[in-house]
Amino acid sequence: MFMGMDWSAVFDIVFQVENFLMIAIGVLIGVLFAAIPGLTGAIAIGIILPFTYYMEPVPAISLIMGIFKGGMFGGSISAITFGTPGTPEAAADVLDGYPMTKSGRPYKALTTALYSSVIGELLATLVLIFTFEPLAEIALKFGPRELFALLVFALGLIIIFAGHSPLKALIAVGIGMIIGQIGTDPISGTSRLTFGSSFLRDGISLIPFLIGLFAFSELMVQFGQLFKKRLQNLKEDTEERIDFMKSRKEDDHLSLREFITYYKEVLIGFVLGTFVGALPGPGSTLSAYSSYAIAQRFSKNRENFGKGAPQGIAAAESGNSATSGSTLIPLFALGIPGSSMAALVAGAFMLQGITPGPGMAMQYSDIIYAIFIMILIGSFINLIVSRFSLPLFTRLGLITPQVLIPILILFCVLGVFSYHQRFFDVLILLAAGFLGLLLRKFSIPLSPVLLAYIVVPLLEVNFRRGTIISNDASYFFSSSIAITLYLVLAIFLFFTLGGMKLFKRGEKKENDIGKGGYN
Amino acid sequence: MDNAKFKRADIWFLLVVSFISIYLLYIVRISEFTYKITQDALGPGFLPTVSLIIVIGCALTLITIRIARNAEKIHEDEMKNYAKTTWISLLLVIIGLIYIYMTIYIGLVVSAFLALNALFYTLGYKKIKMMLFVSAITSLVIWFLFGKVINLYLPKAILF
Repeated sequence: MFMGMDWSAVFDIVFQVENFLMIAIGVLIGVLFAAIPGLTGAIAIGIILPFTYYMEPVPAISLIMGIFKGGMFGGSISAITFGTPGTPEAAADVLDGYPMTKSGRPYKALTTALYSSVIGELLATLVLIFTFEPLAEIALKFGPRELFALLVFALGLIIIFAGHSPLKALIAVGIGMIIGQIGTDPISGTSRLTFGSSFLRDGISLIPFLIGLFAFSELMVQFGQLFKKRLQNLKEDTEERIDFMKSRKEDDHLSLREFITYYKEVLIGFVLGTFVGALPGPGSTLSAYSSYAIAQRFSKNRENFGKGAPQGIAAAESGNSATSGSTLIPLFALGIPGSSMAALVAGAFMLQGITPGPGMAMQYSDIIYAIFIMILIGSFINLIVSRFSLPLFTRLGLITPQVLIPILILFCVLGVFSYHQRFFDVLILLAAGFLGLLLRKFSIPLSPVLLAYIVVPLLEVNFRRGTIISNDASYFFSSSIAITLYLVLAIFLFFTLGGMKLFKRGEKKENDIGKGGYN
Repeated sequence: MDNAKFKRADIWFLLVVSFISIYLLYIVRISEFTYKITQDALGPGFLPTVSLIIVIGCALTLITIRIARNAEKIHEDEMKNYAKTTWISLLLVIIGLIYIYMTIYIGLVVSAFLALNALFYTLGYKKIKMMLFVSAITSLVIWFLFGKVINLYLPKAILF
């Protein structure tokens, strides 16, 4: 495909001022949101998503990818400057970033995070570009039994990796599957679980459900917490936060030569982040912590990890950001969104009438490669925009959330309403928001709900087609690809559950000797 | 197998999930569509049945584990706080519904202004002048963005 591609057409699409503008705006929005504790890149994408409906595919996806990239780095800003991670995946940056800020080196910590983040995501994007097509070509040859096995594999992995409790993840998958089956049956055309409603006959729309489950539920949580603070008359410790930024030392800068010495940590983060990100379920938080732990193990400077070692930030941030490229591999090559961010990107593609999956490269090859080039360019734009806006971004954590949250709530509701101008979509948004809120409160992971909701139509079609082709259950085990996938899943299951037992045993031992459990 | 912490509130939630799932399972089983469309090929009722059984099975297993471990009880104050934040978050759902109805009947700008002030007030924002200023500016931005840039179609409202 690379050779036969009409590259002039691709570059014609790419070199439009609008695309560059959109990706720069996206980066700014992503960093702005992620830098404010409590808000995330996912909320930003949720609020912006309905607006992309009115745009051309490449600028629309560029905007979303810009937010995605900005959001990956933005979380580290408040983690480093205030010790409060802006996003969950930036929590690993607190370990070394905040001690560096306290010792008068906040800008060195922030630039280490930025450079590592950009390199991690840039390399992972290259992996995405070079693996997407070979994988998609394999996936195109899949029949019902292989596709069914692949979807079971993806759901199995997300159950294993999402959260601490596989049973709760399984409940989440069940809930997602039920919601995904509301509407018309894809094979017989019968209405299911619609309770006679004509609106439900078309099923639960992806965009309001997606935004409700991730963005609106998070805003509800934030709203609830702010209200709780109001009741308890709690005040933010912003005054104390500013002081740290004022007491910078003279050597608070990072030279390129010094950053090059962190190459080992950045590479560890990239390799681990790319692998973890490509699997449905584990997510960037696991990747950041694992990269940090492995980098510490192999570092000569290991005793300084946790006390303000820039190498720790480099590993964690590169590991976290590398997932942003690789999490799109299963989405683009197989049509399976492995993370909540990938699901939001899938939503952006679907709004443009492009269904992510193996057929995408055939139907929209020039648009897809134009988007890939924009994602690569976006890494450099992220570097430039974030580097020069760092002094401004470090102040973002001081914004009063009491003002911001109500405005975002309104934009969320109106944005969903503007999508099809249907009141029913707002009802879906609010209901999905409430469902997300309940699931968050009871520690039931959200990403399995969304993944199951998205893949269940495909899973059902392939499963039932399989039963029509052969009335024997052994049909689903009669392909080497399917058997391999089931075996790999069984191995993952064996080692993960075995690992959990060991973890629990270790935790018990620690408690017995009075040291407390693992944190 | 399951190392999550269990609390009393979890049991209530899981019981509600189980009851809703059992009710849906009943709906699926009594529906016109069948479990199998021919002797061998599966019908539209098959996968919903499987999904609901998964949810019921897991929820009941978690409840059993919780009772068997006789795990911790949430402190009463914590429980009150927990319920309060959930209810206040639910208030957002109601404000959201009222807001969209207001947008349709009294217009985009006025409803945004009123909804924002209601939300600021709920969160205990005390600077009244600032509150009115931010709501007015945001309402105008909303009007410009949705009314002029996107050209959001809305039925003719009383106010603009």
